[in-house]
This record gives sequence, structure tokens and C-alpha cells, in this order.
Amino acid sequence: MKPASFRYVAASDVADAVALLTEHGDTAKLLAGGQSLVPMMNLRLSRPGVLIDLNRMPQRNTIAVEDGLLRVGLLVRQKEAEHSPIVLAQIPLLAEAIAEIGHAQIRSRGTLVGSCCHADPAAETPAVLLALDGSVRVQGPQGAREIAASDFFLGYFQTALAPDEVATDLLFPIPAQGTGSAFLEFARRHGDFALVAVAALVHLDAEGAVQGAALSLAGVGPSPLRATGAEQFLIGRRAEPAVLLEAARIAAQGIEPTDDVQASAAYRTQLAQTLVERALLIAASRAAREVA
Amino acid sequence: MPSVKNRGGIGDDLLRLEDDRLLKGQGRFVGDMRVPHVLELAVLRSLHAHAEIVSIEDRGASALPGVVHVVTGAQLQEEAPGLFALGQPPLVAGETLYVGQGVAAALAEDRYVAEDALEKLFVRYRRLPVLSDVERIVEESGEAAVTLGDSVIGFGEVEPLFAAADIVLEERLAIGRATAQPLEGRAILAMPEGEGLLVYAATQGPHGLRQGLAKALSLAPELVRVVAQDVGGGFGVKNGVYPDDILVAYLALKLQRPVRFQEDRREHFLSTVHSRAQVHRIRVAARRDGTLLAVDDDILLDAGAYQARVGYGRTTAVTIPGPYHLSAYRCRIRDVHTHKVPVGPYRGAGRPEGNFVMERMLDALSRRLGIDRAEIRRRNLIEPHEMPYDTRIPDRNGNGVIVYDSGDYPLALETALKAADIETWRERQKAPLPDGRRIGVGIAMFTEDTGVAPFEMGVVDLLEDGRIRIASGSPAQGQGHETTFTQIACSALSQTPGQIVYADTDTALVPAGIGTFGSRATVMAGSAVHLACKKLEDMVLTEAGAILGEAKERLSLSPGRVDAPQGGLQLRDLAASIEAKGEHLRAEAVFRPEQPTYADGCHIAMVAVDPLTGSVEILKYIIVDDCGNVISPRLVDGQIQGGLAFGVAAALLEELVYDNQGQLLTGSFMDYPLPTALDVPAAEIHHLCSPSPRNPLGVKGVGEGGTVPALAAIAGAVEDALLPIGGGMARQLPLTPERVVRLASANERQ
Ligand SMILES: Cc1cc2nc3c(=O)[nH]c(=O)nc-3n(C[C@H](O)[C@H](O)[C@H](O)COP(=O)(O)OP(=O)(O)OC[C@H]3O[C@@H](n4cnc5c(N)ncnc54)[C@H](O)[C@@H]3O)c2cc1C
Repeated sequence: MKPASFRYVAASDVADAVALLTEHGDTAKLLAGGQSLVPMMNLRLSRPGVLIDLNRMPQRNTIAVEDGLLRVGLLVRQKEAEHSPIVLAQIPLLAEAIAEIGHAQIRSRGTLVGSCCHADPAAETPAVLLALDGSVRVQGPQGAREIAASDFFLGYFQTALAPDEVATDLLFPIPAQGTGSAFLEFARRHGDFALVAVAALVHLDAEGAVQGAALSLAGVGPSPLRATGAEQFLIGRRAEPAVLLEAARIAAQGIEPTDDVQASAAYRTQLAQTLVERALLIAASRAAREVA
Repeated sequence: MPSVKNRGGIGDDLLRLEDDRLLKGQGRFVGDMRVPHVLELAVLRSLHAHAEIVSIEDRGASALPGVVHVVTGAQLQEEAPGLFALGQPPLVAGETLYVGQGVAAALAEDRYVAEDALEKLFVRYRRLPVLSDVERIVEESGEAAVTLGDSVIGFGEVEPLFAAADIVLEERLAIGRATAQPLEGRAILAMPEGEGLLVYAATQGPHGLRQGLAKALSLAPELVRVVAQDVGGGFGVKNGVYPDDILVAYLALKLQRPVRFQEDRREHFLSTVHSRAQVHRIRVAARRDGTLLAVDDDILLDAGAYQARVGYGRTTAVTIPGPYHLSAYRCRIRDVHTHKVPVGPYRGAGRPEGNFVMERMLDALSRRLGIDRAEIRRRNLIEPHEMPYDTRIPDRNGNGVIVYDSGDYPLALETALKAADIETWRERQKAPLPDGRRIGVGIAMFTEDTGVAPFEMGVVDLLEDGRIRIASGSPAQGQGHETTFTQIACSALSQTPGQIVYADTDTALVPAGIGTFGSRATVMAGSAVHLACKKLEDMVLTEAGAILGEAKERLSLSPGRVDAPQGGLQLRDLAASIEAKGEHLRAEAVFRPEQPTYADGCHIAMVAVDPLTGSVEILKYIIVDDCGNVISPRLVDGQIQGGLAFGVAAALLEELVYDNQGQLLTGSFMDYPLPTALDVPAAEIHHLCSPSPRNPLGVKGVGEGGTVPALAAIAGAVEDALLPIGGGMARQLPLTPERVVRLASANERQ
């Protein structure tokens, strides 16, 4: 469990990182928090010839609200976002989700951007970004572009990032007033990757009917999924237990997990239904409190 | 029982003496040793469970800068056939028998380069059929299935009792394969010294390692000196001789350079012995009133590729009857050969499995007969007036029977029930919790043999500065022997801890020894140290008497001193005068009891189970433990609490899963969940004290009692929680969330 030898370079800023990526091509890897990359290097599953360290860049740890979007910069650690007053006030769902990532030691190094670029199918941050219809801002030799979350996560550890692009920010739309949210996951132990995780948002109108709903699930497929069937079912209905249970059934019917050593597909499906139902109950009651 | 005169003696609640050093990073582990010119070993491990090695090609491994030596199994066999004569070979020359078995090795100036070299060795394998599932193997081959061991033990005639019984229950019960995962992996450093070797090893048994290495290398045992300094956890798996140990020793001798092997986490999964891995078909015969009559069990143990260690299946078998009366007992144990990592003893060493099946069957009987779980146990317990109790179970060596020494099992049960406030829980569990979870209560009792294997030796010296050095054949791997043995010495010699120097186990200092395992160190080595201290006391008083002109009977020891009716003598001065004569006071003692001691106790677990997700939370955990006299209260409670962590692991979390090609699917901590502090409840521990008459300290072992009944207690609690909603019997461990969900919806009719 010793990495193969590699060269180390620290990028001075994003442009420098892009230039280094362009120069070294396939053999280069960006290093953010290192909490996924370094273990893979130790197992020699990843063997970059050149490691481009992003950690030395100045002013890349911004958490800010801009045009109704919460922007999280590329060196924002999971722990910083988890405790950020801005995040807690604007998107408590994100803070709730981050608390489920690994352990405190890991969160104090790991970055939100790095987690999205790594694209583990069970990861929390991508599920939240997807539920909120967020996007990833990236920079390449041709300049900057934004990729919608629904286009960004392509499959197991696969994203729409080009090899010479650096992800610079995550953009999370801030939910409207009257929205309640909840993040629930089930893992073997606290700190493990989720067997199934659910991000739920419910927006109620003054009469208590569902005006908008968003549901995303992690751990049930190659990348996080939106449960659009369940979302649509909820629109216009009252957020009552029987309705939420039916929505959970629809969500569970819409997934096709595979068997693995941790859980069978059948168990994951049942877990998804249970967690969606419970997350919706919490989100709806939080929304009701907002509306009241 | 020696009297407690001094602070620091037996029974005093000391902080661990070794912790100051360990917490400051001053522990001395094999990996920390700076040795000039040391070569680090890396082993290329087989990718296939069963395959013939067609060829191994060196495409630049030897030529890498920093690489000093590369050797394949075939080359090694040619140059040193003797290494292949004993059991498991140091490297495979012909057929690999499990994924992870060594096929070639590289030595380099550091481990990074050594691993680079391995990547330049290209192995061609020809794959062969793989044996993976023990039940399938036996089903397909029957009596022709290859077993690495097959034995039957028992007493009385079971069949007539089954024929006449009111109730016969039969179940298939299974316990998953597990791995120990000490914080420090295996580690060994061998340095050429004269014609032989000086070896530093993370080992539980330095003398056994010396014996094994000497035999493999055809050296006289005196030429191999083994020292165990600080060791970062053992739990049973750092005992005996591993193929890598032989490789290190051989290469150090051959190249005449220090060679070190430091196992990494991946290698621990793939090459250090696994354990548990048992499937039982067990039958129990009972009367309608719940009286047990006979037990008949058939154990298939997934032994892996070699019979690497003493068969712990036998330990399982002798544990099954436990604290209960039985009229007849029979148990067959087959160690079935599979293409997996060999198994060996690990925390509990077969006892948790035996306890699990017996206690599960009592719960099944309770359910069938409608007799409360506590009551059915109560009706079958051996009573204190029957002690010493002849169990009629043949002992481990087959030349005697097991006789329990002491204990009050009914008191253990009643104490636990009272501490648990069981009636209140029975009320609480009538309704689900507001979040839908159900409460369950599990009870398990145990007896276990502790202080096993023939003897242990203590060596005690009066040092030149007047302090007393103690040593034994049982090294510590984190248990805190320095504290425990110092307390024993303090009581024996009326000293305070500052007067005692604890020495590492070193075969050059302690001529003979067995090691630390089987809850034996305090019983065996503690007693040996005590006896040696008493001898030394006599020698010291005799010498002092000569100087003071007093009869030794009129002298006594106190901290740092020999006291006489008038005046006395500092130990420092006494030591100096002895050394000045060119003499030295050393006392050696061997403790060799006829029978082990038998510890006992009762565990009660209260859990909350979510039938929809399968999550299990342990709400409260009660332990009543009787390990006889307690030397060091804090350490005893630490052993029990730590032991419980292993029980939680086996009950709920840990399982090594292989596919049918012998590939390990759970080969990292991502897929093999160890319990963390969040998963293990702080147990409420109560002590009973039935001193053992079989050693001078009146102690029994405590290293495994925290583990042994925990599997059954937790499984019983989970099952109990789900009974009201139609749950089934918990038959297979670990109870992963998925298994719990299936259990919840089993709809078993009783
Ligand atoms: C014990 C443990 C438990 C964990 N548990 C969880 C968990 O429960 N949930 C969870 O989500 N994660 C978990 N993680 C992973 C953790 O969250 C990682 O921090 C995260 O996945 C990656 O973030 P990082 O900053 O560490 O990225 P790195 O490890 O440095 O990089 C990961 C990948 O992303 C690429 N990358 C990083 N930054 C950029 C960028 N700006 N632009 C383009 N590519 C980039 C890297 O090149 C690399 O390929 C766990 C990790 C450990 C060690």
C-alpha cells in the first residue's frame, strides 16, 4: 500500500492548474482534499505521473450568495460548509447532508468540489446538487462554462469534466420560501458511505398543498438519480402520510439498483422507499412550519 | 491470597503504567526501529485462489535501483528445500491455495521500491477448480470431503435420550468468517548475529516463534533470540510462525543483512489467519419442563487452505455445554479444506461460536415451551454446591475430563437480571417506540476455560540499584501486563510500583515460555511471576540476614528496604554488596497447573431494532463477570469492555465474504466494518468473585469473557424485538441490516 512514484507540483491559481493539466495530459491528476485520491494512489488503483496540488491557491475557499445562488469555491472543506452560517441559513439541506460524510477528520480535509469531481454514486454532495438543480462551474483552456448537475454526473466515478478542465465552483440554487427539506441516509455505521441516501425538498402553498417537490437518491445507481415520477405525483396533493407513502412507492419503483456485497437490490429498493417516505415526512412538516 | 499492604499492590486501581510511554509516542514497535542497512521485504501475493504457477518472469524487477534481491517460490525451493518441509511453505513453488499466498518476494532499501519491483514480476497462472463453500463441499463429497481435522468428542449416549425426549429441536446456525485487524499488522525484523539471528517481532509467543524459525532454518534454538517489545494488538493472530517470518529469517541469514517485514492492511486481510467461519447442525433434546437432556452438534469449520494453527473447533466443542447440566453430549468437528486464507484462534478462539449455538438453542426451547428465557436457563444451571463440577467433557488434550473449579452461576444470572431491571424492559417492549422501532432483550450465560496450555515461566532479578526486574514468557500486545504483573510483584514483595522494572519478553532472559493467548497471561505468567517473586524474597531475606546477623524469619520487606527488628537495610545497598561479591540474585519459577480455570458470567443486551431498515441500536448492556480475584480493576474492566467490541463486531458487523472463485469481496475497511466507538455501548459491569483454587493468586482469565456471550446476547435481543411482528429465529451472524430486515418479515410459525 505505497503509491507508485510521482512528481508533485503546486498550482498557483486556476489558470496555472489548467495550464499544467494541458501540459501533462492524461498522466496528471488534480489533488484537492486527497481523501479519495490518496487512498486510491496507495492501493495503486490510481497512478498519476504528476500530481497537481490545488491546495496552495489563494482565495478559493469562498462561500457566498450571488444572484439567488449559493456559490461554494473549490477549496471549501466539507467541515467549513457544514458549519457555515450562510449555508445553515440558506440551504440547511446541504449542511445536513455534509454531516453524514465520513468522519470529522475526513471532512476537515475533503472538499465539496472534489467530492463532485470524484462522483462516487453514494456521495451526499452530488445528491444535494442534483436535488437543487444546481450546477458546476468549470474552467478549461477555452475559458469557463457551467454544467448542470443533471448533465455533470455521468456514471460510476464519471463526470462531464474534460481532462483539461478544473472545476472551480458549485452553484446551489437557494430554495424558495415555504420549502422544507430533509436529508436521510442509511449506512452500516456512522461515517460509512450510504447504502442509500435521500435528499428531499417539499414546497407547500398556503393551503398545505404541494407546490413543488424535489427528490434525489444516492447509492441506488451509477450516479445520483432524481425521482421525477414521485415528484410529479406529489404536485397539487396534500402532504399527508398516505400520499407521501405512495410517492415513496413510486420513487422505489423507479430505481434499478444492482446486487453487491453490501446489499441486495431488493433490500436497497426497500431501503429507498423507507427513507424517501421518512424524508418526505420530515421535509413536509418543516415546510408546514415555514408556511405557518 | 497475598495481603494488600501497599499502594500499587493487587486490587488497587492503578492507571496503566505503560500508557505514559505509549501516549507520548515512545512505544517501541518493530516498524519504528531504525536499523542501518535494513532491507524491507515485499511479497507478491497470488491473485488466484487455486492455480498452478506456470512461470514468473522478471521484467526489470531485479534491475530497479534500490532493489537488492528478488526470489520466486521455485527458486527458493531449489536453493533451500528444507524450508518447504514444514506445513505451509514460505512461498508457493507449485500451486497457490488461496488469494494472498506469497509467490515471490523482493527486498529493497525501502518498501516503496520493493513494491515497485513486484509490479515488474509477471506471473502466468493456470487456474484450477476452487473449493469455497463448506456445506456444498460436504454435500457433494460426503465423507470423502477433504478435512484438515475430523474428530468427535462427548460423553454418555445421546441417541436414547433423543428417542425418549419430549422435545427435540434441530437448527442450522452459522457464524461468519472474521479477521482480527489489530492496529499494528504483523511485523518482524531479523538481524544476523554471530551464526544465528536476533529477531524483533510483533508476536504473542516469542518462544514458539524461536522454535519455529530454528526448525525451519535448521539452527539450534539457542542461536535464535526473539524479543517482543511493544506490540500493537494481537487478539490471537500474532501467534505461531507465518510463512513471511520464515522468509525474513532465511533472507537475513543468507544475505547477512537485517531484513524487515511490516504487513500492511491489505495483506492483513489476505494473509493473516482468519477465524470463526462455522456452520452448525445442532440438535437439542429436552423435557417438557425445559430440562436439557442431550445435545448433538455437527460443526463444519471453513478451515481455509492449511491447518495453520491449533484447531479451535475443538474449543468450540468443549464450550457448548457451558454452565448447564447435560446427560449426554456429542459433537463432531470437521475442519474442511477450502481455498481461502487459513483460520486460527481469534479473540475467544472458538468459544463465542460454541456459546452462540447453545444459547440460541436455549432461546429456541424457551420459545417452543413458552418458558421465559431466564427461567429456562435457571432450570438447567449447575449449582455452586456441585463445585468442583465434573462435566464429563474430555479435555482439550483428551487425557482427562473438564472439571469446573468454582463459580456461582445462578448468582450470576440473578445479579444480571436485577441489574438489568428486566421487568421494566419487558413492560417497555410491549409497544413500539414512537419512531417505530421495537425493543428486544437478550440473555446469554457463559463458562470458559481460561489459562490454558501447559506452563509459564517467571524470571525475577534483584538489579544492582536495588529495584526488582520481572519478566515472563507472556508478552503484552496492549493488555497492560506491565501494570498487572507489577501489581503482582508489589504484593508478593511488599514494594511500590517505582521499585519494579518490567522487562520485555526476550528468549535470552526467559529460558522457556508459551505466550499470551487463551486468557492465560495473568493466570499463568502472573502466577509464575508471583512464585518467582516469593523465591526472590526468600533469597533476599537470607542474604540480608547474613549481613545483619539476624534470622531471616525476623526480617521483612518494605518498599526499597529490608526491615529488621532493629534498623534494616536498603535494597540498593544489599544489591551492591551482592554484586560486589560477583554474585547476582535471580529467581526463576515455572507455574504448571493441572487444569485451567473456568470463568463465568452473564450478559444481558437491550436493543432497539428498526424492522424496515434493519438497524440495531444497543440501548443498554449489562455484564456480570466472575474472573475470580481482580488484580487490576481498571484493566479487567477494560478487557471486558474491549472484548464486548469484538462481540458486537461478530454479532452485527464483521464478515469476510468470498465469492465462489475464492476472491475476497470484503478486503478493505470500506466493506468490512469494524465497530467504532459509536457502535459499542459502554457496558455496565458487575463483578462476582469465585477465586480459583488452581493458582496462588486465585485468578481466572478475563481476556475473552467480554466477547464469548455477546454474540448470543445480541442476537437473542434482536430476535426478541421482532417476535411480536412475526420475526423468525436469528440463525446466522453477523446480523447485517439486510438480514435483520429478512428476519423481521420471516413469518415463521412456531
Ligand atoms: C474513511 C472515508 C470515509 C468517507 N466517507 C464519505 C462519505 O460518506 N460520503 C462522501 O461523499 N465521501 C466520503 N469520503 C470521501 C470524501 O468525501 C472525499 O473528500 C471526497 O470524495 C473527495 O474530495 P477531496 O477534496 O478529498 O478530493 P480528492 O481526493 O483530492 O480528489 C478526488 C478526485 O477529484 C478530482 N478533483 C478534485 N478536485 C478537483 C477539481 N477542482 N477539478 C477537477 N477535478 C478535481 C481529483 O483529481 C480526484 O480524481 C470518505 C473518505 C474517507 C477516507
